[in-house]
Amino acid sequence: MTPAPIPFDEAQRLAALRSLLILDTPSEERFDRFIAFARQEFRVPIALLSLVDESRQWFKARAGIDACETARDISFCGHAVHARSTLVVADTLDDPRFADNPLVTGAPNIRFYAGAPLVMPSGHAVGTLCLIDTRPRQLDATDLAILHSLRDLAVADLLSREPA
Amino acid sequence: MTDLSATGLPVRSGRRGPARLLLVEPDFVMRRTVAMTARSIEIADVAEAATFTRGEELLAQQAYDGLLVSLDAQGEGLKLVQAVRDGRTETAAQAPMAVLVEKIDAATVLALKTHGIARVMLKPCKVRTLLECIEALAR
Repeated sequence: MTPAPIPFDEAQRLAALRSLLILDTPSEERFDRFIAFARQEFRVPIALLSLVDESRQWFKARAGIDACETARDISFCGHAVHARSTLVVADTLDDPRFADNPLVTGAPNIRFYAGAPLVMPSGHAVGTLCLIDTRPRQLDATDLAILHSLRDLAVADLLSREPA
Repeated sequence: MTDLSATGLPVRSGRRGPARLLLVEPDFVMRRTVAMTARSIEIADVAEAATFTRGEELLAQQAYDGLLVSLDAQGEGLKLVQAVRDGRTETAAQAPMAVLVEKIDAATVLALKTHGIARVMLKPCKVRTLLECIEALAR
């Protein structure tokens, strides 16, 4: 397993994340809507709005999973945040970065992952809107465009949100 | 003269610019996702209306190459369709139209046939389905 790498702009990235004043706040209907919509549109068992904090990823909105956070080093979203581009893993068992990841070998048994980074106007990626399945999948260009539109809507709401 | 085909968006004969469609859909996430994605994958320029009132305003202001309207139980959506077919808007009376419905029955089918609706989609439907419909309307 390759632990989620730390971006070169980590200090500024964390500052951008924390300036949103969103970590550990209660669930909000508008973010839950995006996640429920994404889950239905892509017919995946799990969809998340994940924010990558210093040592964890915390889920502002989640569907299909009980956990509200996981360790950052085993997170898929940490990889997408590092790359600042959409990460698609069609089959985790075919990818040496993830094949022995505990989220693959154990619950929730991830076989497919697609995460679009939540990039702030400053250029820092604070998290992802991601899709997870327990079976291998592919996304075509239209799927990716839809995922990116949902991500863009989520980013707009993150930026316009009044702190709780 | 600008080569409009370079935009990648469908260019209808006799029109300047990409095909421009009006989407009347109250659900924010569906409406915005469809409109944003249609533009990003370059199938059409989709104007948005969350309400029939807003749809009427937009139809009074400019012509559209086609309409995709989410119908309501009160018949306001059908009135909007009828206004176009009657030539009471800036849009051509014969413009292609598709509708979204919560449920369908024989009376609704008959009304939609009367109005020359090109396609009926039952809710809930996927963004991908609406994009395919928009692509067909834009041709």
